[in-house]
Amino acid sequence: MPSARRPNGIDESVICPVCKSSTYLNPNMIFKVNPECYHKMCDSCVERIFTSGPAPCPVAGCGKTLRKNRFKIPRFEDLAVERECDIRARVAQILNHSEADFDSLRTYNDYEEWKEELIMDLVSGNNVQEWERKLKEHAKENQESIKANARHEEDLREQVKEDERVRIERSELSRAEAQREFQEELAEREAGRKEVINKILNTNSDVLRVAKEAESVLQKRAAARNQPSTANGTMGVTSGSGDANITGKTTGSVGAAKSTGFSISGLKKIQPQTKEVEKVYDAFDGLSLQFKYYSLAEKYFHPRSNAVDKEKGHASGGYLGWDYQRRAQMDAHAGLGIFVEEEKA
Amino acid sequence: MNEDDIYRTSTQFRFWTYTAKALTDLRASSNSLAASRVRDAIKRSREQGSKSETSTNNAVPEVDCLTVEEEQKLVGWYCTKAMEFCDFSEFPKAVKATAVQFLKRFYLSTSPMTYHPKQMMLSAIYLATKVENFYIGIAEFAKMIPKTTADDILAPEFLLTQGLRFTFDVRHPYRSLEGGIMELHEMSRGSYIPPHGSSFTTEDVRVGILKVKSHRGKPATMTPDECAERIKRAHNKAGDILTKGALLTDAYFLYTPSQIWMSALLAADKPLAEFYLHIILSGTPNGSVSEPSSLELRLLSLLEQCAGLMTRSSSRGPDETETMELKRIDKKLYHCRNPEKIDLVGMNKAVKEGSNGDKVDEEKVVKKRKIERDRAAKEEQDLFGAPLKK
Amino acid sequence: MAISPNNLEPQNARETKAPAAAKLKSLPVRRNQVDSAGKIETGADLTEHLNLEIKNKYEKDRKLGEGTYATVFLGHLKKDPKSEVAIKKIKVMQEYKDGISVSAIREIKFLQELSHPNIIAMHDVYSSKNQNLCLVLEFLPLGDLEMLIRDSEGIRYGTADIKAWMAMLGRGVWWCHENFVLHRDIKPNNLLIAANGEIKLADFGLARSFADPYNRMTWNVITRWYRPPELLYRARHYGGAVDVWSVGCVFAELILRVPYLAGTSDVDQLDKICQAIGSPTEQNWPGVSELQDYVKSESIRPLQKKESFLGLFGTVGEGGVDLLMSTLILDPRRRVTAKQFLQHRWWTSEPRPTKTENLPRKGGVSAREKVGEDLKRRGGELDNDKGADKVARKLDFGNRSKQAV
Repeated sequence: MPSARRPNGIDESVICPVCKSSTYLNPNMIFKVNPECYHKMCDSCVERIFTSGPAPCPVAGCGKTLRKNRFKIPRFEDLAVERECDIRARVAQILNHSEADFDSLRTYNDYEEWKEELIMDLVSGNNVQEWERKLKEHAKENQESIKANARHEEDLREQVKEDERVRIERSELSRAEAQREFQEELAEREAGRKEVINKILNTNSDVLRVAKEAESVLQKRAAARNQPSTANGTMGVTSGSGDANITGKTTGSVGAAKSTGFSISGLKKIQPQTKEVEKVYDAFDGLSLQFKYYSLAEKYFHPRSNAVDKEKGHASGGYLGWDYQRRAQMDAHAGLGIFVEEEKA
Repeated sequence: MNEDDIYRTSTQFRFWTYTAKALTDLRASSNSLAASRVRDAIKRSREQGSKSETSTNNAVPEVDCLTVEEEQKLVGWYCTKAMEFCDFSEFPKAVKATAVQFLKRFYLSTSPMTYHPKQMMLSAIYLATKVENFYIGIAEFAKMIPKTTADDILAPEFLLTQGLRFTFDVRHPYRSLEGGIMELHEMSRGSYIPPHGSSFTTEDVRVGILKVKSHRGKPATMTPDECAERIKRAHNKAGDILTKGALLTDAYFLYTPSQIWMSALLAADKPLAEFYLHIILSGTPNGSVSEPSSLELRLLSLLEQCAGLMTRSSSRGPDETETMELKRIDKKLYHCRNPEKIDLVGMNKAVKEGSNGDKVDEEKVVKKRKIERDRAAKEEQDLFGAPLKK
Repeated sequence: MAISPNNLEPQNARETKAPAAAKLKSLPVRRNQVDSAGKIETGADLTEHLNLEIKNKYEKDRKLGEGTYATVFLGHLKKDPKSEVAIKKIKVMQEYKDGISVSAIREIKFLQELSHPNIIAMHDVYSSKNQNLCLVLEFLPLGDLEMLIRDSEGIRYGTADIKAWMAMLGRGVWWCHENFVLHRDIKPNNLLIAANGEIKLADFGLARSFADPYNRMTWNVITRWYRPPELLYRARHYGGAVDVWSVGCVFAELILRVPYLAGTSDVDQLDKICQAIGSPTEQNWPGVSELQDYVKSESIRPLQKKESFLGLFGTVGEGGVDLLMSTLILDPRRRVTAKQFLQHRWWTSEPRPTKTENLPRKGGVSAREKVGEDLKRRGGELDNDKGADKVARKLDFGNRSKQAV
């Protein structure tokens, strides 16, 4: 991290305020900081001074008792920012309500604003003792609801990861399936071909008829394979297990916190856990077609529309005789069950 | 949502399908409304024409108007003329069929006394070419018909569209027939997929169709080839029935296209049609048992009615008596045409030139109309029109 | 009229989206028309009366836009002053010497038959004096998709939004194809946005029914940037795949926020396609050389692999790119159908499509004006030179016996 090693680039070097060693001579020197007083010193100093136990801060004029395990590598070069972030994190751990817990946007916003003011006070040093005391008490009293909120956030994060995993898995599966089907088809075709050849060699039957029979068998098989995916449009899939839209939380405090800590107004009353499952996605949004009087075949025997597929420039432009056949099927059956005398009475 | 629902969204079903009674009532009311308008118009023109006479005779003039039956016959006649024209000019089937239906629909809400079918016929054909993707420029179209200008054909167009309530889509039973025949072939070839919910298998159906009784009711098992031949024969016969029988009768108003083609099949080969119906209804409740379900029975009786309607109309040209009858009607029409609606070309121009408030001399207009009327009437005296030029 | 999802018609008590049949709308039976004075109304037969009735249902408020083809007004149902409709008045018989123009007929014909939440609804048609045709359409105040795409400053949207919009477009196109209608002019300009955020397919002036064999059709349809290669090669027989290609181009444009394949001429358009997707060859598109204008190019660019698409379009995820590529397959037979488009796995992967009410939208005066602009265009005007060429492109109607429309 540049702030720890080369804060201003390669050319400038930094000196540890305690031991005065320079990063020029020790390029791998790491600086650490303690949230008690935010005084920076190099790692070897930390080791040297605090390994045997808590000791006062070596920076002249500080003297605060520091512990080795509280030293950490700062995330920000500007230690004031580092300090503020630490304060925020600490407050957020205790006051961790989310928008859903409030009965209106307004009350939630008020809560957030008040939290901000609290943090500002802490940062600038106003009323620190009082705020700290109150925070501690609030934390003690509302232990459970705080824990519940934290758990909730954790769950959301998990859900996203889970969904991703499921998606990858599913695509793997479908790929494997497609491969398998393809192999099956190849094998079938091969077997069919072998059979045809056998038949031709062994019997005196009409070669053409044998070939036609074989083709129709293959077609049937293909049709049977593809049948499940005819007219029905709904996907009927929920994406993975993490689909539940977790709304409610189980335990926790009601309305205002206890009076020794804070009183936060506008918190929604906790509802009993309702695990709302999101609606299954419907590709056609309610308007899928399910034919009543027929099932669509893959291909029909119809001289005119079969012939057109062999015409130059027709199929290659995207015209399919099959579209005509599909339309003919619709026309043949649409309205069959409409009794005009009744419906137009 | 199923295929019946899709048909219910069509304008053909929503606007142009009626119960038998509604149809007769509608025609009766159009006829009487037109008759009263004709009487008024003739009265007005007589008063205008004879201003000098101080006629105190304000009685409604004795105009012998057409009856509903006569109107029907006349419109039907012009429909056949339209079909002949289309055949002669080698227009696609769709154009021909749509043009005929346009005429029939138009005359549900108006009468030949108001607008003569001869004027409307050409307009209907031209509109049909536009609608059915067989577009011809008006100049070229007008050239195909002797003694006709582009204006003659276009003048009634707007009226026609209005009378059609701005619906242009007409669904015919021809493609439907093709679809049904396709399925029959699949059945006999052993590759038919039964509808959703059916408990028949492909093999059941294949075996079943080969066992369909002959026309005379004799049970016998056909070979696949014989079955294919039988289907082809039924196809041709049904096609013939549809060409005239469906178009020229009220079938389109009373039944759906799928019912129409199936009725034609019923008339062509009853045992085959009954078998087919049974199979395609096998996905509906109670459809998969050997006995016909109640839906099937009701549908069969409906199809019988429709088949009867279509086969009753003969496909021969009109015979002697009918020709005489038509001549008589035409003569009658000459005397009861609405004089204010004869010159459509002039009317059209007037409307187009807009309502600038052109004050036209009333007398001149009446006189002009009278002259136009006489000229047009003379031309129409020959009911059969001028011979078509090659 | 197509059954409108909006509950404008008092008789249509419909709650669900499924287009149930409207109650009896056949011609009512009337006896002699008698007006209040007791005299029989002269000059008014049944349809003229009906026409007048329909006309009197609506009242025009103000003009929204005017063009050579049509004028658009904002209006409302007299019974419900708060309702809003767009009244498109087509000037009939002004330009065409052939009577009512074919594109007007097409527009009316298809809007009458097609009834779907993602297709603009036509409530009524009537004629005003001077034989002008008036179409009463649903009013879609929030402009069109093009506006949303172009406004990169004001409108932000993400994968979930794109998913929602593409799903709606897909359903609209699917419904057209289920009814065997080709739209033939899909582009962001023609995708209007309703008050609730739904996308509606509009402008059916170039639409046509398809599937009859041996019917030659014109290749000169669809605005150039959204036109598939088979039409650029002047194929006269084609199918739903042409619309699917346009859908793919719209998809790409939504992601990139600029048109994906913006050719400056038909030849350049083909070139852009070759560059982006690959050159069509007999290997990847059997039969392509049979097409009229096919020219084998000297440098064959191989079909681009998924990696390059992921680079450009990766924001919609691997599934989204897979779907996009399937709509831009060169061989129209292998391109996905509208139905397959809707059944792709991308729709059920995360993120879920945004709920309609939460979609980003543009509000305000500018959107309403755009609606006027959109509707007043003549159906069938190919916007190929984006405003440079204001003259409507005449469709190629050649000679009668070789007719293709």
